[in-house]
Amino acid sequence: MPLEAPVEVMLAASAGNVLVWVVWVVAALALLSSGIAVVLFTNPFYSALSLIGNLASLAVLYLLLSGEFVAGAQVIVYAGAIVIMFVFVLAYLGGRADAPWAGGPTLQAAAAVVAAAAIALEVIVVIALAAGDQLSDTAEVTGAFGSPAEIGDLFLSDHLLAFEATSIVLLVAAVGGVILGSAMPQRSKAGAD
Amino acid sequence: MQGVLLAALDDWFPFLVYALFAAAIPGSMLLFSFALSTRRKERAPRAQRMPFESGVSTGPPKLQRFTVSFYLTAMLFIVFDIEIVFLYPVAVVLDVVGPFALAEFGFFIAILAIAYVYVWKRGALEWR
Amino acid sequence: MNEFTAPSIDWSALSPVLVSLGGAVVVLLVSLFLPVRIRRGFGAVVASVCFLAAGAAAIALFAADETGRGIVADALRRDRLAELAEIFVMGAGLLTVGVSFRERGGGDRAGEYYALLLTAASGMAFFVSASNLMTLFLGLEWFSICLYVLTAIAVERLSGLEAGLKYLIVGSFGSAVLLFGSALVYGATGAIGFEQIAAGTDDAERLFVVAGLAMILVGLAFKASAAPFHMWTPDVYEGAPTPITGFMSAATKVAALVVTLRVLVTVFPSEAELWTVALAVIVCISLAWGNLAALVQTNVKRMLAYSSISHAGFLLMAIAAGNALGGRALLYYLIAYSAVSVGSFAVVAIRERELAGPVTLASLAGFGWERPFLGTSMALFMFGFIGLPPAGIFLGKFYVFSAVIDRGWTWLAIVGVVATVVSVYYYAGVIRAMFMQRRELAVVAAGGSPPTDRALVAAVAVAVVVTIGSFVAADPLLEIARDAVALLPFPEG
Repeated sequence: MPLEAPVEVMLAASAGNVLVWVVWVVAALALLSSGIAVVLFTNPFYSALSLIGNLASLAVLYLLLSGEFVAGAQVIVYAGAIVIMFVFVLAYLGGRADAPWAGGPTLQAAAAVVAAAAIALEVIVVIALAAGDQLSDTAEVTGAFGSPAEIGDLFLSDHLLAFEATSIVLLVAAVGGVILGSAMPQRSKAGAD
Repeated sequence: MQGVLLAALDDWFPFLVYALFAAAIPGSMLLFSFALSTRRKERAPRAQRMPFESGVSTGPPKLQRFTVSFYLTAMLFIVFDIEIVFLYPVAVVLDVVGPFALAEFGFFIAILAIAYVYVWKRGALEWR
Repeated sequence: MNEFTAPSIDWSALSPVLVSLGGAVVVLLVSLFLPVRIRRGFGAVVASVCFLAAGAAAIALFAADETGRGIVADALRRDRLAELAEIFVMGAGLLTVGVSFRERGGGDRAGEYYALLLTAASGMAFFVSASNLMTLFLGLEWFSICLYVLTAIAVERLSGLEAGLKYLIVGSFGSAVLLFGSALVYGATGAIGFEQIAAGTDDAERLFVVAGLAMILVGLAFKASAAPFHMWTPDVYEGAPTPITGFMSAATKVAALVVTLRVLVTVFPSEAELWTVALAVIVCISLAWGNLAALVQTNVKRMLAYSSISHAGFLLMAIAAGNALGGRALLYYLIAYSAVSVGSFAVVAIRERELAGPVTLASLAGFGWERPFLGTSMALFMFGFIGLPPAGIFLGKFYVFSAVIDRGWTWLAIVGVVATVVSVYYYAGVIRAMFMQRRELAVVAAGGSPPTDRALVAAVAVAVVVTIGSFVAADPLLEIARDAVALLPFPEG
């Protein structure tokens, strides 16, 4: 989906549909504020919780772009599983509050500023292009676009092999996880004996 | 485009209401427990906020590490979670496509079952 | 949605992938129910049978297949290039089973070991026949994840764990770069099929196509361990179990280079000027870095790792030529290189088991006299790496150099010759360490030599036969290589 969709959303609002506009604004604000919260919290657990909010509000934006399946996957996999993984890793490491900016302006901080500036520039350029009607190709979106059924259809036709190969990659990942993850407690037990 | 958006919103409107309620219920619980609390915590001396007002101090809270089992379980959960995400769209079109979809579905599930049997037999689901 | 038509599945065309994958599943599940002491034997037998069967299937397909065709909705392409690469991979897998048989470490995970080895080979067979960006990425991840785990499978050894972690992180970075590049190419052309992309690049925004090409090339160069994307190679080669190192240096290289050739020639024919120059730069860096760093290594595995980086340079030089002669040279070179590579790591593996520790140049002292067959074979492999007869790499290098000269890049051939001359020093160092040390310096294995490992010796013998055979039977092999690349759309046709 190209980037003009939020603009389309605004157009829809001018057409009188306040609800779309409200949902979009709320989701966008939640996205921004939770993103800022992820960075600002000193307690990594709170950061991880804010990340869930961040990913969930992103899912709402996907929905507005009629990416229903992507939105669902976003909630199930990212907000549901990956962040839980983060939380477990934090718990495993002890979850101590980390003091940010302890080292002063480091290379990492500088790189972060540069990257953020680049993304900001990109956003400004896109908005300017959209305002100047440069991005005038309307997306060809049919009713079923992005729906699970459409994607299921593709899984069974054009991307059948990719679909099945994914199951094998996941099998290997599970086996690898068990080999590397379950061997370690045995080793530490042997060391304690 | 506009029509599609509005249609999508129509479909998802009940969900929106549901989400608002889901957020409002725990939010209100938190809010009211602060607003209606009778004890002004910040003014109470430290001793009053302890479970026992006298006795031996337990010292600073110990850093408790989780066992690696949490980590392993979470990792396996992600793997199977992703499988579900892949199965969902195929499940939706099962009746349209028919036996072919069922066969491919079965292959996918079979590979998933192999992973499951392996994980189980290896004892990775047991708590350590 | 009602007009759904299921893609036809050509089972025989998928057989090399399916046979090795099926074997992997059998090994994985059955060994769970077997007593620990027979798991290794069971896994080795099933793996050998499956590698033989998959290799035979690939040979049969190679013989039958003259035109090449897309299968399963054009997601994969069956052609002789893919089939020849599959034969190499299965052969390397078979030899690796022999080398691994008496490998210690890994505890009760022998079943997983062979299952992952088979799955990795199966993934490579999938990868080399990929014909759209999605199967390309999935194939890459498929065999890469197997290799990450295999690297660290002896979890008792910290160096193995460290190597596995490094490989995972750097390898994932490489895959991510490849995926990003694929996304750019898809965004620019709106197609993911290789041929459709090639057809669409003329109308596409050139900036995105070029950026995507560069990122895909970088991602593949990570897998081929070409400098400057090689930084994981020495650590991973050193930390991984030695049979796996041999497998990686042979099979991964075959897969990565064959796919690089296919992607560059079929997807980006319009940018041929650009990618040949880019490859020439990578070639020069790989040759320089690999050879210079190998000069100062004392650990033999690390030295061979740098040697594999410099050979990535030679192999990419064949692709950089951008002509059919280069494609032929690449495949011919890969035959001899895979054999030499697996063989030399097999010899390192047995010395490592004798010493129960890492093999350095000093600890090779006296090895040649103690085990004449293995010592002589190792000497042959070192000659082979240098590119001296009677090893096939001699002719391989010759064809690579003539391919770049054919393209008009005599200077690149000269760089290659200089790199070869430099490499003589460190390869000859191994021979000197094995045969020409004073008797007092000879390192004797603690507790006497272990019993002869017949499986490993057989694997080394096969590697010797292939190494010399590729030189003796150069003409028929070059014919095969010519057939393999006949369908690729090289510029001059």
